Amino acid sequence: MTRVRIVDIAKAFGPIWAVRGVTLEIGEGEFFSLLGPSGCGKTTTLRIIAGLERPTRGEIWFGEERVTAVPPQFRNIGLVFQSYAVFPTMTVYDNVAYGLRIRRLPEAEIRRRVFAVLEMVGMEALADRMPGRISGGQMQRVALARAVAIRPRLLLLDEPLSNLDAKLRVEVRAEIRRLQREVGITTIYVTHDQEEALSLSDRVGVMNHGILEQVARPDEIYRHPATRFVAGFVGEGTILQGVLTRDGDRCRVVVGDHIAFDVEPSVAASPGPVWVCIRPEALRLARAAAPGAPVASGVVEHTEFVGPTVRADIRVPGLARTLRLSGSSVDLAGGVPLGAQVRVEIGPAGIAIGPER
Amino acid sequence: MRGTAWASTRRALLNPLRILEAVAVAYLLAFLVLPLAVMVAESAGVVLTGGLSEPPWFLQYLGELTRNSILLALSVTAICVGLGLPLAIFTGRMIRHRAGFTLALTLPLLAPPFVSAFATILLLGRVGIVTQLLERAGVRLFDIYGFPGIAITHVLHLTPLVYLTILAGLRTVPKAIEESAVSLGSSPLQVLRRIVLPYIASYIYMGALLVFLASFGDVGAPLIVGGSYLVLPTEAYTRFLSFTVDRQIPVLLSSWIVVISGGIMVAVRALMRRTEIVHTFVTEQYEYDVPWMRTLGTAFCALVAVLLLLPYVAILVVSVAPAWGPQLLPRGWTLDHYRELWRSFGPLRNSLVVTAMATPVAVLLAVVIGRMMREGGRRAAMLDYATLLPFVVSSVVLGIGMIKVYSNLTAVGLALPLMSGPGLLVIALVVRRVPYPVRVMNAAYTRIDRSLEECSFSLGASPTRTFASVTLPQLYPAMLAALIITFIQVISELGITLIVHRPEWRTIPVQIYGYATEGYLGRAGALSIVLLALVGLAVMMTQLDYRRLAGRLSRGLRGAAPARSDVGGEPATQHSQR
Repeated sequence: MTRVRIVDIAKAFGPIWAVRGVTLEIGEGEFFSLLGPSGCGKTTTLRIIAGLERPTRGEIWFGEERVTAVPPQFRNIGLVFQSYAVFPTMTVYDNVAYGLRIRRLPEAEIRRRVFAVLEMVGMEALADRMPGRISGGQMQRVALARAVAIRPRLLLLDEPLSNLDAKLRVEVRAEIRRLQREVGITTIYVTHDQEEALSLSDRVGVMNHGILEQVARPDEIYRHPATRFVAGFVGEGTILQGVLTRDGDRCRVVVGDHIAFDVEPSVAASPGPVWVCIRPEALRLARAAAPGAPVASGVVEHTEFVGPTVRADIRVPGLARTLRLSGSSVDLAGGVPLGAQVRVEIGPAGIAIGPER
Repeated sequence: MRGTAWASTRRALLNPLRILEAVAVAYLLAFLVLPLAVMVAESAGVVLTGGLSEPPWFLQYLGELTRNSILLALSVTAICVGLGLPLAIFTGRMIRHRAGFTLALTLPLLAPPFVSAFATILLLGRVGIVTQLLERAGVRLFDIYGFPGIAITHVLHLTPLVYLTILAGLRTVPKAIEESAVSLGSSPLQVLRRIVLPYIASYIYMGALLVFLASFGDVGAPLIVGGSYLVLPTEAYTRFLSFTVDRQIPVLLSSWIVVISGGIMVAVRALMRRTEIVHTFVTEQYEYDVPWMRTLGTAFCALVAVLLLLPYVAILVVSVAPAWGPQLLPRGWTLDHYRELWRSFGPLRNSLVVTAMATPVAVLLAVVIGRMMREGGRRAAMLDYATLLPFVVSSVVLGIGMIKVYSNLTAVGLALPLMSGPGLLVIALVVRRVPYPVRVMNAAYTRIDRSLEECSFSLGASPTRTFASVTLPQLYPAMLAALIITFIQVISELGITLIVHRPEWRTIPVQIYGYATEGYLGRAGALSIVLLALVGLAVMMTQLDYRRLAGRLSRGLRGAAPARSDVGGEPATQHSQR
């Protein structure tokens, strides 16, 4: 259990900067996710923390110890990869015991600890199996057990669920979170899957082009994205250009030529050009036009049925992009036929804005 | 946990992996790069001081040799590709009984080329069986000693090489690509011409390059059936052996071979890079279901397979014939030739001793070099070129270079014990054949998931410990395969042995060469059969299931048998991409 401090790290591979100055502090016992598209530098950041890559500049601190130049084998960290990386020439037991044997623990103690962690991940019955004879989900559990068995200061997970199928992913995800709480270990989790990041983490850092765009609690990331990129990457929504005006406590945004609506006054932007992210929950189908309500009218261009909900993209004249509406299939059933002329109410909840750079 | 600066320096210096790497690099530098560099440097000196016009006939002589060598290699390459390409397409896409045909068509690869040369004489020589048959039919065959003999030998021996390379290329073409082309309305021939050929172009160039270099650098066949057709490697060899002539001529010829081979390799590699398509081996392959093509293909493959295997039948016959004179089949049979071999047991023993010494060294070297090459970067590129050199440059050239450098050392009293006895021969065989295990180990390393090692580091293991307990166990099957491939290559090496060996260390190939040129065809045949049997034995060992064997052994050692019941979930793939 360690506080991790990352001070302005950057990493260049030849002429390409994979990470360009990341500063971050992760608290003791915290579950922190690095979220971003592929190539954003999140894995490189993780590998620098693990000691598998040397940063071109910057420092890494574990508690009061500066570890920037310490080779990985002396950092005492647990690592879990997407590819499982279970040693194929050793049994499940030997895999988990590997780190303990290196630490020269007595064999009885090793046995006790190996079975303790194997029990935590429900694999104790398969201790004598070779990795070729267990399934993907089981492999990832072994990898997790092996990482935790050495009682690392820090647990690093690099897309650990990406090779698993959808159902197993949810299962192992819950297991990771439970294990982390039980052991109380500081954890850094790298993923491109926003659902994973939002559902698992205490805090999330969203990365793009080698920089951290925002670090915040999951709900805050969704509700108050700090940048246009975060708004677009996390959650659904339509991003448009607009102009913000403030009139006392009232904040009003105009998008397109004429569509104006109120937004919550807490938004952190000063009057002027802004980006506007309209989440599906900000839109409601207006059956009867309430007088004075902010309403846009347009044509249903595309609909998608996805079980419990229905999505509809609505083309509003004057807007650069379609607005995405989503609602329960019960409410919207029959209400949004393709090509129909509909009217939608907008905001104020479910709208995020930020200054246009 | 972190030591002082001194401690970490000491750790770095005493790191067993670093020491092994240093030894491997030193080995390559001393016994491969240095000998070639010394010759090229010396030749450059001669050229720059205008020494080429001395003796006056030299330039004309060099021009003639170059023309002969290139003409030979180009003709052989053209014929081999012309045969290998249809063979690969037929056996890869059309005909039935593919495994059998593939086996028959690749068997000649296992035999050394000088054995083929000797078989060519048996079949097409002045009293050869085919010659006689044709004479009875009233056809007078051309004299095979010279260009035809070398070319036929090379084609018989090298066609399998192109065939196998192109077949490997065909295995990378996804079924969906050909199916798409067919669905767009192409005929089978159009698909092959427009889609498949461009797709496997880099493999065709690769096969052509391998054949060209092998034909260009071969010394065995031209020595045995070359007659008065002089080529660069044999001239380098014979001039090197005859002490009367100018000592600089073999060095100049050798350097010239280095320059030509190197230039051609660089050019073809550039061509291959331009045409290369990202390769993945696909499991399912498209099938052309055209009856007339299938019939034609089967007939063609059968004919070529018979032609390719005929020489070995002839060798077998001559090895048990009392005398195979001017009659079609020998009168009776005898084991005298084999008994004769038994009396002079030396070459067999020498070959086994030398091979047993050289093979493990070469594989160990390959394990270390493979690990360095995996790291990528400039060092890997240098090692890649260095380990290709013995492949590219004629073995004779390498041998001349080594003798030049290391016999001089002996002369000034710097001879190491390493150089005595079979020492230099073993070193030379390792250097000459190290490309084979290096390629095998490279492939093995790329199959290992790097995150396995990274996990080991994170669990506290040092690089050395990680290598020993995580990486190495995964390499065992490849190392066994490399051992056997290297064994086959080393035991049948002729070129470098001819130059480097001491008289008391003559090996099987040298002995066969001696018998064949002195006219003891029966003995040469018998010894060839012995050599082929040794190679066949080694090949049979590759068919064993080593993974299972190793697993059994290790489990036996641990004394615990794990449960073997099947798991519910589907077994996961261990080596998925990151």
